[in-house]
Amino acid sequence: MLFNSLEFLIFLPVVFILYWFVVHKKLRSQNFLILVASYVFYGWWDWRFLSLIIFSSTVDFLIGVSLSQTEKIRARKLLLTSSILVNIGFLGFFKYYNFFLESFTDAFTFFGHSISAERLHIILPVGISFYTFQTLSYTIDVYKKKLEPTKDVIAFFAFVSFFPQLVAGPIERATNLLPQFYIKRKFEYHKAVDGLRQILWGLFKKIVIADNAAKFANIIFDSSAEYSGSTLVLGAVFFAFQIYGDFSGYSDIAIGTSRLFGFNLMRNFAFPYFSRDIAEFWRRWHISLSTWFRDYLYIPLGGSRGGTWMKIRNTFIIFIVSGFWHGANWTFIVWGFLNALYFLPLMLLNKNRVNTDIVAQHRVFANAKEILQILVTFSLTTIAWVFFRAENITHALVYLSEIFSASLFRKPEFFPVQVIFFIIVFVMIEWLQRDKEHALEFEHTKMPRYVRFAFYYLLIAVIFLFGGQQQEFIYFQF
Amino acid sequence: MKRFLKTLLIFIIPLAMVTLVFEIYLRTMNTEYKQKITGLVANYDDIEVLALGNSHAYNGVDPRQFDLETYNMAAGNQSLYFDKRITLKHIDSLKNLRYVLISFDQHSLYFSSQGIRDTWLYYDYDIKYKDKTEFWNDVSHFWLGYTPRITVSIVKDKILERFNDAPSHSEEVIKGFMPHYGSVASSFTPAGIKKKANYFNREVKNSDEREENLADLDDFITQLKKKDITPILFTLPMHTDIYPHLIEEYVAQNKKDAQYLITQHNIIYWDFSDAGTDTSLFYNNDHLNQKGAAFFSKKMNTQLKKVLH
Repeated sequence: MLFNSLEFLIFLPVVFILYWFVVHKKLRSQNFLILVASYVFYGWWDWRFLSLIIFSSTVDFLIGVSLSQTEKIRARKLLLTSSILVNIGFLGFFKYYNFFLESFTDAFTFFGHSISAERLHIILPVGISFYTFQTLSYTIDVYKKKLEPTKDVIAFFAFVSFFPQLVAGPIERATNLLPQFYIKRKFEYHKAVDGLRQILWGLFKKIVIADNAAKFANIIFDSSAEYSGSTLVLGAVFFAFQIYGDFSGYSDIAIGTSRLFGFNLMRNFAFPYFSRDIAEFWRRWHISLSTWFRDYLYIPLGGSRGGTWMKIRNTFIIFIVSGFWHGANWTFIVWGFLNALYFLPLMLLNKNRVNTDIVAQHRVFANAKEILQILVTFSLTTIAWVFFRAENITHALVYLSEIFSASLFRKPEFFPVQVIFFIIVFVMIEWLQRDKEHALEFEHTKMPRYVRFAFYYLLIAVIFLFGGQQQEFIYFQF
Repeated sequence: MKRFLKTLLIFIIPLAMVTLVFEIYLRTMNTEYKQKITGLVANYDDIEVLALGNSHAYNGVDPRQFDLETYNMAAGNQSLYFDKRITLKHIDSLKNLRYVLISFDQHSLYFSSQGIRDTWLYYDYDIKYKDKTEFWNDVSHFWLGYTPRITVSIVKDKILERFNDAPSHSEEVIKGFMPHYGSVASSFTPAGIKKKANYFNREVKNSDEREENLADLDDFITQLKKKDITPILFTLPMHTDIYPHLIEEYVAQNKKDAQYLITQHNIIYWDFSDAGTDTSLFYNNDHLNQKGAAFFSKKMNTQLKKVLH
């Protein structure tokens, strides 16, 4: 079920009413309702995939219980390994089977040995990468004794499948989300109202910014050979806004929806395009995944404790794995590698934690240096996005070589004024609200209600009058 | 919770009022479809020739140029799928119907759904597209059937029409026909021509419906003949500059398909596709204007008279 669909528009109020008015007296009933609603939400795509998520949840629940019953290190390690093998095994099969098959076939052909292997027609279950990482965080944390294993099967299953963030995150830690299923939720007016605002902003980002930018990004990327460098720059910028509007929009809707049910999800985006260097960008972009890799991969690999070279090696590993997590294609791996490469000078100069505050804090405008830093960071990430969006590496390289050619100075073949106008307005609003959790946070504002309402009506009107053609959220494929 | 529901209610009231106003407006407005179906029903006993097709026929077949009583049931983007269902729904009431003119364009066999127009046609003609459910579109014409974007565009056009001294098209349909006035110069530039050709190329390239639609048309022709009604295929011209940009393979396939229908059913085909050289006959690069519609409708009438004799 898509957030920007009629089905969800009916589903959400129905679940909300049942949750707060029918099953509100018992915590267990509320959790059970969330579980059922989550399975309906997920099964709307394809009910057969429910078996996967139920199996994964069962395995990790039982492993959690088993971990609580043994202190033997070997047994505990075995249990953890089993969980990792099952979860990564599913992910590997559904997402990477054909990729490895083709890569091996290509490698053998390259060395003069022709082998034939048949591709399988595998349909990737929606959101498998997200819930796999979420449930893995549980077993790892239980293994490390950071978290008490749960004996509440409904709470655990609801945690794994919690519908607002099930298919595209934020990837929640068991330590943050699971305990929220044990505590009686109280309805909080401010939290719910702010949740609705965040949902509205998420819809604006998705429908007006991402879907409109997607239209032109798709045209330009699909026929990139026909366009000049200047148009290709536009295409890359459109894609940068498409993926940001799409993914952060989804996160906003997920976080906002959770708040309506009394849950707090972690922040996933913190105005990343205002970052002054690539390290800051990665502290602000897809935070739940970056911190997941930090906690469960980078630190176990030794983190930065083993000196500069160890730090560099580990950074490259997590960026490349992160790229591979996004999809079974070499383009994602190169995208990850490129980002690691951007990181390198900052690490060598030990400047990867310089910009940890909010840019131009307590000022309306950034200074020239900050503007330049923001532009350079945005340009670097946009270049990397070309690999992310391209069909294959050759396509990306040809695309970039055309950008850095004389045709860059030609007039673009088309210049969609309306989309560019919306992007500019969007950036301005985000800039003005960059010290908040999200751009529509008006918690302590003195703005009168009618002005705020007028602004919300305007956003709704823009969504319905100028929204792009409905497209699936990009991150569903991951 | 009470405070939340109260705030939500206050917020929703203006939206509900806007919805109500537009729902009433859209459900009562005299759409082109409504005008066409009303005209068809009112002339059940008189109609002898029924013209079908998409906007090329809607703007291109002028019933006033025919000697026999003719009615135009073509509409913007109308597919063969709907041509057939509209005709068969009313055929038993059309007592004097003798000829059905079926528009056979470059892309006719390559689509059956008209997108959002399926719902508009359902509203006014009560014909559904395949097994598409229209339940929610029945619930709200404003939010779903027409969508706010199209509603606003309809209202905007209506307002602008009042201030426009030289409208680009007729305000009301004439025997189902909607004439366009004048020409849009920008449409005939090389870029405009290529854009339109690309549109048709995309339509045919991205479609896998040809065989299904051909079989459906085959069946339509058979059913008409069983009822002693003569089906005639026709193709109105697009501007001559468009044709070189069309994918040759599909142009050839279309000719083959037309030939198949002609020989299979022994029917007539009026092909005017190579007659689109005079720009003054066109409103834009693929639609005739009033002058062009009169010109080609007269030609069709002459051809029809030959059939009569």
